[in-house]
Order: sequence, then structure tokens, then C-alpha cells
Amino acid sequence: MAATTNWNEASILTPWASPGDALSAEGGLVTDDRMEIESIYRKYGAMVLRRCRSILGHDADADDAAQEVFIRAFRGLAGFRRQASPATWLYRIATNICLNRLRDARNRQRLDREALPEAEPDRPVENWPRDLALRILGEFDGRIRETVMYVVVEGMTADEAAEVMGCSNSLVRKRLATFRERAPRKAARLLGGIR
Amino acid sequence: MSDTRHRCPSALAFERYLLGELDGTARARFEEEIEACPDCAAALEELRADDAAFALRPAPAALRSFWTGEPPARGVPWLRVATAVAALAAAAVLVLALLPPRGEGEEAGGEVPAIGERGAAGTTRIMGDEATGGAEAAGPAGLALGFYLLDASGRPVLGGPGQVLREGDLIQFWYGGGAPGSAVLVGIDGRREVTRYFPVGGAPSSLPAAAGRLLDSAVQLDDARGAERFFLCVAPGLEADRVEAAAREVASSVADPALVERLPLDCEQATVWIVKE
Repeated sequence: MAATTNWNEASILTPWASPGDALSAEGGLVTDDRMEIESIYRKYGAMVLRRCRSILGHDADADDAAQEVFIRAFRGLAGFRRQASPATWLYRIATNICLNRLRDARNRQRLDREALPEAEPDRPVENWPRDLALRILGEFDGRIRETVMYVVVEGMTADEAAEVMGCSNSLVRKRLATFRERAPRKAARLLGGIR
Repeated sequence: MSDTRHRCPSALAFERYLLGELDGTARARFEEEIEACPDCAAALEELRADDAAFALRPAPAALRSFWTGEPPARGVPWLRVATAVAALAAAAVLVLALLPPRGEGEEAGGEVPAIGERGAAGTTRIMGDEATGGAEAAGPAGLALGFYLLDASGRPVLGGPGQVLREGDLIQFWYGGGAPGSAVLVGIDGRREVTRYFPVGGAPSSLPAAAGRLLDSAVQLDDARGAERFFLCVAPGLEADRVEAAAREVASSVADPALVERLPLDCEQATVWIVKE
């Protein structure tokens, strides 16, 4: 389910059940799962909310995205249990959900109305203003977006990003090279189209 | 010469440190870096304060319902167990006729029809429309889409994304949130065929903003194998033809339509998908 805006309390009707989950007579999760789910939220909630705010900035959007992160995690409880680093797993889900939201047309319209970054598209991408880098990310596919988010926007090393995404350092570098090659043209087009 | 410039830990490293996920070596290295960088030390204190503030916040009702087992106050009441399932036979997707709209003077909260009950217009529903309660305007919340299905014993249960279903299974959609407007529900199946599920025939039907409401009719699934994704699109004056055209565009141009989460339309949308075996 992809609720795209302001997911408030009323918009989630009942807990989702994943195929194969044990269901109570009412169609909800069994008691042990419920206790685990609550502890997951208590432990990781602040981190997920911070992560969403760091990307979306907008508080209501961030709250909404954080809820989506946890709903995905709760539905994929078996996957959560297998994680060596649950924090990294949730961090990645939050990152991708927020980047998807940034790409959402309405959010882009909102961003476009906000202050435009002062940017020179021919500067190295590592030196671009964060807002511009975020905006350009919407033009790239998921893997490249996530890689650039970690390395260009947040300053992770290629090794750190590779560890987070569970891929090789060379793959990270390859994605960055693709971004560096294509981003200036996309940035010029974006800025030219807006201004 | 090696690069001796200080490099601050990543945001993720801060989080993993606070959550106790760093092992001994990594933890010691992180603490050395914090000690060497006043800005990082200040940032760590801010995160600790933020953690404390978060602990005081009540969890959103939508999440709390996962561990309390109770739906949010304005949500759908828990499923009622019905006693019989109508045997519906159809080789293709069959969308059963919608019930006539309820008159303005009628009260909400009426009797829930039994599963498979046929209404005056030949409608079959898994859940009665009035099971939703609180369906009055709920303000501009995010649009959500889901469905109920019948389990092996004929009980209605919530379906979820990726639910595995079979030919002949009945599902009934619910929606929640969103602004009022004309609504169109379409699906793209494993054969890349587009089917409109709501409204059935005629002009687009208007949906009120609702905390939770069921679409009137149940849908019987056909024999198209694979993933099928459903899109609920809502906007004032939205034309069903535009939605169907957007769905057909996705169906014909995207490698795997089931992975698409939005149709190329400027309107409020929600989506859910199933797999037909």
C-alpha cells in the first residue's frame, strides 16, 4: 500500500496481515508478535523518525513516512528477525521510502516552490548543495539514488555505503560514476526548467 | 602521506552506537572519534535528548493498533463472522453490481449483510458497507487501499500486499483517508490486462472522505496467473477513461507493472497488490 500524503491515525484502519502470518480470530497478529512489535517501535522509533526528518525535513511528511517504515517492518517481521543489524535494515527502508516520497510529484511541486539552491551544475557533485543533490536524486533509479544518498549527501565512504547496502565497493563506485556522468546534465535541465 | 584529517562518523554510526549495535572495536573507535570532535560530542548529546523526547511521545494510533490488537477509534470494527458463502461461478473477473447508493436520510450502522448475501441489485458483498462506522468526512488524510478475503472456513480476514489468491476467490476492497472526489479503481493483472473495478459502468462515482469504508461489491478473481496490482485514484472530476488509459500505458511500457506504485496521473492514489496462483 502506498499512501502518499499525511498518513494520520485515521487512515490506517486495522493492522495488515502478511501472507502466512498467524492470525487471531479477529484477523490480527498473535500475542507474542504484538509484544515484539511494540518493543521494535520503542527501540527504533526515534532513529527512524530522525532519519525521515533528515531527508524530508517536513515534520508531517516525516511522521507519515516513519509510520510507513514501521508498517513495512511489522508486516515483514520474519525478515526483521533475520537482520544482523536491525538498525541498518530500518535505516535503509526509511531512506528508500523517503526518497520515493521526494520523487512524488506533489512533494516535488512543494520543493520547487521552496527556496532554490544556489548551484553550479558543473561543480563536482560531492560539492553540490544538499538540496540540489536531493532533488536530482529523483531522476535516478533506486539503487543509484540510495548510493548517492549515502555517499554524496551524507558523506559516507564507499566502504561504509557498501556495507550498509550489502554490496561490493566497486559496485558503489560504479553507481557513483553513473551519477557523476549524468547528474550535471539533469541538474542543468532541472534548474533551467525551474528558473 | 596518509590523510590524517578528522572524518566525522556517519549518521548511521551514531544510531548504531546509541542502539548498542557496535561491537567492541567499532565502539571504541567511535568513542575515540567523539572524544576528538566537540561537534560530534554535541551531536551525540542532541541525539540522546531526542531519544528521551521520543520516549515521552505516545505512539500513533495506527501503529499502536498493531500491538494492542484494537483498531483506531475511527477505524473499521473488527470483522464479523458470517455463516455462509455464496457460491459464485465465473471464468473471468466478475465484478458484481454495486448496491444502489444509500439515501441521504438513512442512518449509518445498519445491519451487516451475511457473507454472500445478494442485495436487491444482485450484489454480493463479503462485508456490509455499514461495518465501517465513522465513515463521515475525516479531513484530508492519506489515501489507503486494502481488501478483505474469505479464508478456507469462509471467515472474512484482512488481506495484505502480496497475498496469494486463487481463481474464484472473492475479495472486497476498503479505502480510507483522502479527500473526497471521484474515485476509480483499476487493476493490472498478470496478462497485462487492465480491468476497472470501480465504478462499474456509468459515470465515475464520488467517494466521501472516510476513516474507513468498504466498496460495495465483492470481486471474483479470474484465472490470470501472476501478480495483479490495484490502484485507487481519487480527484475531483476524475474520469475513469483517463485512469484506465494511464493503467494501460503502464501495462504496455513497464517491464513489471506489479512493481509500479503510482499511475502517471496527478491525483491522490493508493495501491495494493496480490498474486494469483
